[in-house]
Parts: sequence; structure tokens; C-alpha cells
Amino acid sequence: MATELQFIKSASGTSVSSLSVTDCFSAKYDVYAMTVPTLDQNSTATFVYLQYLDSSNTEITSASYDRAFLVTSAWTTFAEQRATNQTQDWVIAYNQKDTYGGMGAIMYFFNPYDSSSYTFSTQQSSFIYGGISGGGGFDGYKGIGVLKSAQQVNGIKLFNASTHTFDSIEVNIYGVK
Amino acid sequence: MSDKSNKYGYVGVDIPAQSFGNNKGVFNPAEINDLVANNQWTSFGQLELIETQEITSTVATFSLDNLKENIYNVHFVTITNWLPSNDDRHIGLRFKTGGVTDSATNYQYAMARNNAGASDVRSANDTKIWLAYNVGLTRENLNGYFYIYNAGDSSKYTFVTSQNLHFGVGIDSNFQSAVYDTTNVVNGMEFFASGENMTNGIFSVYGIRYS
Repeated sequence: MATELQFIKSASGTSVSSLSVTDCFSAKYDVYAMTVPTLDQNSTATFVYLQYLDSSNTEITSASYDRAFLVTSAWTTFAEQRATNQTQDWVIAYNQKDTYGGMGAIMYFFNPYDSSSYTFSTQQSSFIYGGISGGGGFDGYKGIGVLKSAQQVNGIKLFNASTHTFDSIEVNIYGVK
Repeated sequence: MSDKSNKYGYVGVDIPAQSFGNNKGVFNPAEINDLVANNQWTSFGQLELIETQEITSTVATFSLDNLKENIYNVHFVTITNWLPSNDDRHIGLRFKTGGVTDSATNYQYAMARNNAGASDVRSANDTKIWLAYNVGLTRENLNGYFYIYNAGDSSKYTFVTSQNLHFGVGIDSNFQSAVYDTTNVVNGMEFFASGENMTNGIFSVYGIRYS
């Protein structure tokens, strides 16, 4: 279990198609935590995707992302989501708008800066899903992800599927000691 | 407008703006206290213990009433060696607003259980959140943790993600997401068993600064 969190940086944006958090990973930590106080998508039916940024803070777009998570729902049966060899990871939420009440999420990253290791992640989230008839339903994600490329990762980029934007988004990155 | 007040060791010159990771000057204790209170002081260690409380007798409910929700947007709560007074009891959670426990149908949760034959648990209109199922008096204690999001935000719901485990029929892991689906400011929480009482448990609540 983590013994301490050390704040590294925040990043935020309004009316943006993506949010990049550059140079948030370094040789100082092996494990990082991310909280998401605000994530407000301007359209429903939109995934939240993540790509890692390489040592030049450029998106890693190769088909080397694997993911698996369980969607736990209060309104319907649970469902698994999994995929291999993707060009991005799917994280945290789907159909998320602040008008549904906000959300909560914690995501951990392991060994991102280690050029000899893959970058692994775990996530757990809690949000109101807006895509069902008659209003939102409550969902949660519990999952894992990996970037199957042994390279130095300096940061992350969050973005929407298609051309949708975030009305607002804010994340905080911590090092875990 | 420039700030030429005498502080941070500066006299008669513009005072540099202060922020986390960017403090400039020579600081006295009062100035440091002010900057800490305003989240402008650089001090690493953002997992801050708010309080630890222990169940020391047989009780029906147990509360943590100090969240400092005006400071922290995300809280981290640990549960150590929780035990009900009877077998096969669940551990429940309700939130407090204005110091009063809310037991109305303002809760939703979805919990996955990992043991042989266990069924998932979900509810969309409930009076509580179950954090774990079927903890046993004659079995091993429950240990785990959960995060609370937006407790002090009067414009958002209060969300929870949790993971708890105990040894029941076998190793029993319970992870879930939950929501207190009102925009009430949450300033406390109450734990209870699904029947009878609780006999053991240590609860610690931490705030994550800058969250």
C-alpha cells in the first residue's frame, strides 16, 4: 500500500478535444496516482481514451495497448470489456457529464519512466452513465491496462473518441513513495 | 496592481506570487501557516491523516465525524480488522450531512464479489452502501480501503470506490463503486453491520491535498 503521496502537477482545460499532461513522470518515482476532480464531456456516447506520451512528449499511437475491466452497474448486469493491440486505452468513464452529478476516479501507473519495462495501470471509477432512457444510471469501472512497449513514458494524454470535446477536464498527478 | 507589502523577507519591492512548487523568499512561521492554509506552500506528503478511531466495545453504529471536507476533495479511508458480532453480516456505510446520518434512499452501488459461488450485488435506490458481504465472527476480520470523492462539493454527488477482503468461505474480495446521489455536503460517515452489532475495527481517514 502506498505510504505517501507527493503532488507533482495539475492540468486542466475547457472546451478542449484533449488534455496532455507532459513531464509528469520521472526517475523520482516508480508508481504514480491520478485523481480526476472534473471530467465533463460535451456529448454522450463518447469514450474517454488515454495515450501515453513518449520521451519527447509525443503521443504513442502504436497498436500496443491492452485493457480489461469490469463494468459494475447498479441498473443492469455487470459486463466485461477487454481488447488487445489497441492504439489507446479506454479509461475512467463513458458518457460522463457534470450535469449527472460528477464522478470519482483513481488511477495508478506503474514503471512509466523505466525504459526497460512496460507501463502498467490500474483504475477504479464511479460515475453516472448518461446513455440510458429516462436519465442516468450508476456505473463503475475496475480494470487494468498495459502499454506493451518497453520505453520511457513522460506523460499522458486524455481525449474523447471521434471529434467530441471536453467542456471541462482537470486531473492531478501524484508520485507514490 | 503591485504588492509592495513587507512580507516573505521582501521590503519595498513587488512581492512574488506564491504557489505550490514555486515559493520565493524568506518565510516566518505565520507566513508559512497562511500559505499552507491557502494551498500555496510547497510541502511534499499529500496523503494527510485526519483521524483514526477504533471500536473498543460492542456497538451498533460507529462514526467518523471529521472529514475536513472544505480542504480535501478526495478522501482515503482504511478499515483494519473489522468484525461483526454475528456471522455472515455485511459492513454498511451511510453518509452524514450537517452531522446527521442520511438513511433515505439516496444511495446506489454495484459490488463484485470474488469467491466461489458468490453473486454480484447491485442496487439503484437504497438506504445504504454495502462495502462487503458475509463477514464472519468465527472467520477472519475484514480489511480494506475506499476512496470518497467530492464530499465537500455542493454541486456534485459524493462517489465511492472501494476494495475490501476477508476470509469467509474462502478468500473473499469485494470491490465496488457507489454513489450518494444528492448534492448535500458530506461531513461525516457512519458504519454498521447488517444485523446486531460490531465488536472490532480501526478506521482511519486521510485527505488527499490538491485533489
